Amino acid sequence: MRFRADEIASVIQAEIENYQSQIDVREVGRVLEVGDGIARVYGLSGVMSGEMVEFPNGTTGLAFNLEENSVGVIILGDYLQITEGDEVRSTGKLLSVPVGAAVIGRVVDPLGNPLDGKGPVITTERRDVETVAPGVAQRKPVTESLQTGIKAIDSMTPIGRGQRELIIGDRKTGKTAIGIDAIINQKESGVKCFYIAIGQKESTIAGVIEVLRAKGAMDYTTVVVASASDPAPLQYVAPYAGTSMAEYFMVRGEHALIVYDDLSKQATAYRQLSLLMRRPPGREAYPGDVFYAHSRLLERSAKLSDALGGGSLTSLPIIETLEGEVSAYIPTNVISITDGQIYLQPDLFFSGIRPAMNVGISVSRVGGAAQIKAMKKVAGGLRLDLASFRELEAFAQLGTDLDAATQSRLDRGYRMVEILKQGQYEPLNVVDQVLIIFAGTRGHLDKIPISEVAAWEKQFLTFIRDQKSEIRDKIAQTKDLDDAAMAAITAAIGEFQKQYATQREATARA
Amino acid sequence: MIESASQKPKSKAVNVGAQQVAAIYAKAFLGAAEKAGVSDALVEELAAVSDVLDQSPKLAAVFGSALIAHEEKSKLLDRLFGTRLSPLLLDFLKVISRHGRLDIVQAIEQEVSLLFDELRGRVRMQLSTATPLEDGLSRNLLDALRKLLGGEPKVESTVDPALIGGVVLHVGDTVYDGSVARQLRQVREQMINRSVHEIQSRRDRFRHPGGN
Repeated sequence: MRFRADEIASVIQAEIENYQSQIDVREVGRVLEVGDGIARVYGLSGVMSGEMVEFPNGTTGLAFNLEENSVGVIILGDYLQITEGDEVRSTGKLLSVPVGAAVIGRVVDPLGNPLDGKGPVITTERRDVETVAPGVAQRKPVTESLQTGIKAIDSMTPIGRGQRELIIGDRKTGKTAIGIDAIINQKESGVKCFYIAIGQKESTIAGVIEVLRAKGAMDYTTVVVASASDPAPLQYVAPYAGTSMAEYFMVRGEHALIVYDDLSKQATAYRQLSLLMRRPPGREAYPGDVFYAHSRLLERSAKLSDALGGGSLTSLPIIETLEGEVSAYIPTNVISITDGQIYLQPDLFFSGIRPAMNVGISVSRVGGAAQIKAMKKVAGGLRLDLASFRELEAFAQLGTDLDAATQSRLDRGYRMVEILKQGQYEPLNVVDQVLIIFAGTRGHLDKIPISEVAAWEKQFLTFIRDQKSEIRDKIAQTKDLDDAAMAAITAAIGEFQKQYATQREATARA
Repeated sequence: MIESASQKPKSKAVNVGAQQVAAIYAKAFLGAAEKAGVSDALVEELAAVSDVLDQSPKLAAVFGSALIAHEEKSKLLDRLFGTRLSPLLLDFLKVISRHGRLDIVQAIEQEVSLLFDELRGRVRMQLSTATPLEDGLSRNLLDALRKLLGGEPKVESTVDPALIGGVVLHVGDTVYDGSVARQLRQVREQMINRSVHEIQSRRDRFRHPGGN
């Protein structure tokens, strides 16, 4: 569309008439040295800790260290363009990021700048990156459940809205997969999701975004990226920035889920900054306040009281261990901060048990209250049963003769392990989870060969959905399992068993 | 007073550590000078010493060298400055030498002149303008600054044609920017922001409020 030049000219004229000349008063300093994402600045005598400063090329920095004669600044952006002697201006503002519905579905950097090539993030609302976590009076115990869609987690270490559940394990044990599955499963729940990628390969992040897009999860998800090639200050700030975006929904009475992938890399970035700033190193060379760095971040996940709208922010921090060493500094810190952990083990992973969750040491300290009643009834003793099965299994490998009772416990255990296996990106509805776990724990699968358990499960769930949908609907509605419902399920299983047996015979004959 | 620096003195690299130490010596020096009541003369003499060091880097190297003993340096000081400097300043230099700090004489001089200005209620500032200031204008400006800052302004002025017009004043770490260049930049930013806003609001009119 063409427009007339004089139209614009009149706009410009109005602009100039409205313009009021003011003297711009700023405090400035001079760059003494710069490198590795930090700058030491002389001057800026009135700058405050955490204040945003501006470099001549428009890059922002954060006053990090206030010393007697200089200020240590972390540079949030390209530090190669900054040279010694550059003027640094204080802004009198704290670092903030754009928030609101506009960031949903976007891939952004920790400052809220878009990375997905879909144009600017259009929102007028901003929120400080560092905010104080809600206090005691502003909170409420966790009561609602956040379904991850993973059978092993929802049944044994349930997660509630407002909880912090750590996902911990060695590399390549499926930590990210759990976070992604949890995000994919929020399709119907209306929970806004945030995936914070810290210090990861760009290719991995691109893969995750692709999966989220393919599963339709990008409609309600924001991905905040501070990849391995981004400078350490951005990796350090990323989780705080992502939390601010998520908090926006919490304070509005909505629900949000945030996955920090992973916090060990953030701690490493923070260690780099602290050492460059000459803060004294402590254990494993981490600075003394690395605990606070994580605790103040994870404290911001909360379930708000009804007076404040009852919103929640659930977080799934991820920590990578080295050779299963959970007693290293950062893992112990984060374990002690969170409300439970899901521990993933490589040997389980490679023996085909995926998710490779170690049931014995994975716990959820508050989620039990959040589990729906039906799940509580069917999965009550599952965790302990499975843990004792693992012991028994190790014992059974030694001996040959087992009494019938032990053998039957082992058989049940093998089948439960089989039931709890689940494919990646295949979250399961909680009602389906209840049905299949009910079938397993009540021994309806004891006669099914282990190799056929997965097939049985799939066909059983299809059978219920197609032919007994009233059972499903009832559980979905009441979220409970009364005697009548249990009887109905048992009857349905009996019916299905017959169908399954005839079908099997037919295939065997053919 | 406005002293005109024809070109901006190339700012030396700031050595934060040396400055910290120098500030302590400067305080002691001024204390002694005030007591003797000869601060003005001594501050000027110290500036002269600093100038000498600026001009002969070899002497500065000798002063800075730890290989040369204090006694040698002391004799050297006597030979060089014995008749030219007040005894108090000479003693001060020897004290510095004994402490092995002759390498930061220049930093001390900077700190002394800063402290001395502060003591006398003078406010240092750098004034940049696009064209050299005329006398009448600079007098008016000085009067205005005197009222504004509550002290005698000590102005170092530079000419920077890139400012186009107006003045930029540096007082300490604070910059008062009234230049035309900045105002133009500001107008430009405002126009961009206004246009972006306009585009957004027009686009939003076509959008369903509930999202896509």
